[in-house]
Amino acid sequence: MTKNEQSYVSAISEIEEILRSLDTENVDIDRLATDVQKAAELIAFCRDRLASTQTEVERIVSSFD
Amino acid sequence: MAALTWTVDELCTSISVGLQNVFPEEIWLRGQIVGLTRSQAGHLYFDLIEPEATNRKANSKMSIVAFKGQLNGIESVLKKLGNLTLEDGIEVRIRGRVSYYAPQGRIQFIMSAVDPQYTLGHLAAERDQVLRTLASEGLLELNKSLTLPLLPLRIGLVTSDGSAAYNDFTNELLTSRYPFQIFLVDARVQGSEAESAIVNALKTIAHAEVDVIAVVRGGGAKTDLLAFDLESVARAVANCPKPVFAGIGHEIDRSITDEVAHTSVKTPTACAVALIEQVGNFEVFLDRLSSSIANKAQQRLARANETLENSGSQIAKARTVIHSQDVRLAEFSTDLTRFSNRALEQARKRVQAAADLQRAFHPLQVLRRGFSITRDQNGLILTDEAPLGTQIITETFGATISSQVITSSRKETQ
Repeated sequence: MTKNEQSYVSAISEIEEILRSLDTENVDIDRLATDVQKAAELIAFCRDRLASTQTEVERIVSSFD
Repeated sequence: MAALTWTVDELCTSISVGLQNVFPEEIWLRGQIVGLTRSQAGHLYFDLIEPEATNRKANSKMSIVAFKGQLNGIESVLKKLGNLTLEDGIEVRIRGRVSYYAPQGRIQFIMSAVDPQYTLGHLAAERDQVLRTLASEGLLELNKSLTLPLLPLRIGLVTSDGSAAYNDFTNELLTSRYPFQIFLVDARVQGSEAESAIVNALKTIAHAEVDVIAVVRGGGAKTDLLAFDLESVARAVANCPKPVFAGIGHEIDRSITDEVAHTSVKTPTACAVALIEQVGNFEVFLDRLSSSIANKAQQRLARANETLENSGSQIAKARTVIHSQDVRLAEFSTDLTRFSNRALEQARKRVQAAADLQRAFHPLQVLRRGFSITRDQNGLILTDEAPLGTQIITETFGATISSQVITSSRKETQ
């Protein structure tokens, strides 16, 4: 669980790093596709994690009632 | 010969005179009181014997009379100096004169004064002796070692039925707000029957269904309370299997019954109050217990509620976090598209600019604008002077022109 959380956090910081590098004047076009691909994968991973976390939280909450 | 014959009167007078010669003044006499009676005229009669405790010839006896005229003085001295009264069984030291009472043909001692200190000393000595005996057998603490029931509502009462002590005690209990039950064993608490009456009453009530036993008696002279200093009574109290409360009226001294009782107070009323307090303590204990239970339950409930609210807010927080992460990821997505498109656009623009420049500088474009290229016969582009007469070929946008150098000079400002 801790490892997964860290992995979400590290995914987020990786995305931020890629976005920072894309938000400059001199973007390396040779790397652009690779970077965008990587960022898209990371975003998808994070969305997955988030969605499953939300499902888990809602399941726990509903077990209280 | 006729012997000398006395008349009765002569004999009596002679004895009387003889006694006066032997006992010309008052003397002090000590002994134990028995058979005390009071005449209707107000005189007091009793006999003095050798004390039971001593082994001297116990059959000696002297008749004592205290006439009404002296009796008040004697009794007030006893009362004032020792809180004593003349009672059967007590030992006294009295002053008086020995006289022969002819009408009854007997010698009697006409009492005029009494020594209270003597009686007090004897009582104290007897009391000390009894206390020592009881202490040596561990009886002083025996009844005290019994555990008082938490709720002593069934009271075994040993006292004289209908006495002031009985009324004081029962009124106090029955007007309290607790449902006391009183089981009375009537017992004389004064005089010669008191000893066996109290002992038997204690034995009777000891095995009844009672929680505690109260022995009560109203106030009186020290000698009125003698029964409560008796060893047999003290033993009965000490050995009683139920806690004994003593409420024996006294002002200063404690009786031996007080010493051996579980609890001792000064009056029958105080005895009832002590029992009411004991029940009251239990009520307070119950109240505290119940409010403590209620408090603890409420605390637990409050803690549980708090935990629940905390977890509720934690869940809300989790939802907020998830939502904000969701928003963030959406922003990332937008940024990714925007930044990559912008980067591509910028790159495209640069390429276009380069292409434009390249196009602008293409020789054909230059030639079109009127520039030309001049080469020598070897096809090398001329950028400087050429020897006179050299054949040169000039290329324009539309044609190739051959010429010969006529003049050539270098530019000053190169």
